[in-house]
Amino acid sequence: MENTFKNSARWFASLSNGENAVEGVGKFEEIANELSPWQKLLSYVKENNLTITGMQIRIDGRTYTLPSINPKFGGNAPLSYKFGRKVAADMMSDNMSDIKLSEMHIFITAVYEEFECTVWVDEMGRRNSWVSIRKVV
Amino acid sequence: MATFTWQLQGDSGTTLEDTDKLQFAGATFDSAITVSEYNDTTHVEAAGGADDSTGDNPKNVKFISQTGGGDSDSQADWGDGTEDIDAITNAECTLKITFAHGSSVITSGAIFYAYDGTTTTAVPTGVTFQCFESTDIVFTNAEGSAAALALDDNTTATSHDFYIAVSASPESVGLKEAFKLRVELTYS
Repeated sequence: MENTFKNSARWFASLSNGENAVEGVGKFEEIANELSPWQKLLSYVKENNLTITGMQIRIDGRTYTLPSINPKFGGNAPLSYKFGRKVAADMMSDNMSDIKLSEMHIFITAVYEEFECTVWVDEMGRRNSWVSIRKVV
Repeated sequence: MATFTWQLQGDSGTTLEDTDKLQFAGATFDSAITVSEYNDTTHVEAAGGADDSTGDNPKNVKFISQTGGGDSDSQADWGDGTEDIDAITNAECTLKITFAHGSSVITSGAIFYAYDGTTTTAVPTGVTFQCFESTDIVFTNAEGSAAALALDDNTTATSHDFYIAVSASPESVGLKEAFKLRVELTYS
C-alpha cells in the first residue's frame, strides 16, 4: 500500500541579504527528483555565504514565528535554525486504515547555545501546535 | 509528497495493503505459535482472512538468542539454521519499509517499535516483540516508543529503504490483537 500525503503548510525563512525564501516558491520550488526546497535553501545559503535570520510556518492563514536574530519582543537571538517534518505510519491492527501516514507534523527549530526551541504544527489533523524546549547535549 | 510502503519480503515481495495484517504464525499460515516460542513463518493476511503472500516464499526470521552468538551477538534462524544476526542480508530481512518523497530529502531520527495499538508508549499486550535492522548485531526488544529500535539515518534521496527483521512470541494462549507496529522518522 502506498500512502501519500501532500503538505499543506510551508516554511518561510528570512535571509541575511534581505531575501525571503518560501517553500515551494521560486528558487525553492519543489520539483520531482531535485533537492527538496529545504535542501535547496541550505545549498543556496552556503553557496552565497548567507545566514537564516528568522523562520515561520504558515498554514491556513495562520503564522507561527520563531524568535529572529533581532527578536521583536527582545530575548536571546538564535544561533541557527532547523526545519523538518516528522511522519509516522502504523500497521497491523483491527482497523487497518492506519497503515497510511498516521501523523504528519511540520516543525521549525531555533538553536541556542544551550537549548533548542521548536514549534510543531499538526499538518494532518486539527492544526494543533506545540512548543518544545530541549537542552542541547 | 510523502509515501510509506511496507513489504513482506519473499521471492518478489508482498506489499501490505491498507486492510492487510502481518501474521506471525507457527509452521503454516493461521497456525498458532506455542506460548514462549517464536514465529516459524510470517505472512500477509488479507482482510477476509486469505493468505496474500502464499506462493511468494515470504521471509521469516525467528529469534533464537539475545547474546548466544560469536562476540555475544544475537542469533536468529532465517531459514539456514541458527546464525549470528550480523550475517543477514537486506533481502533476507522480513520487512522492507520504503519512505519515498517526490524531491530528495534526508531522513533522521527514524525509529521502529511495537505497541498496544492505542498508546505509543505502551507495550503490546501478551506478546514479546524482537527486531533488528540489517547490519545490527543484537536484537532490540522494541516494545513501546521508549524502547524503539533506532534506524540508520539516510542521506539525500527520493527513496529510503529500511530492512528490518521482526520476530514475536505469545506470552499466553490466544490471538494477540493489541499489537501494532509503527515507524516514525523526520525528513527535510
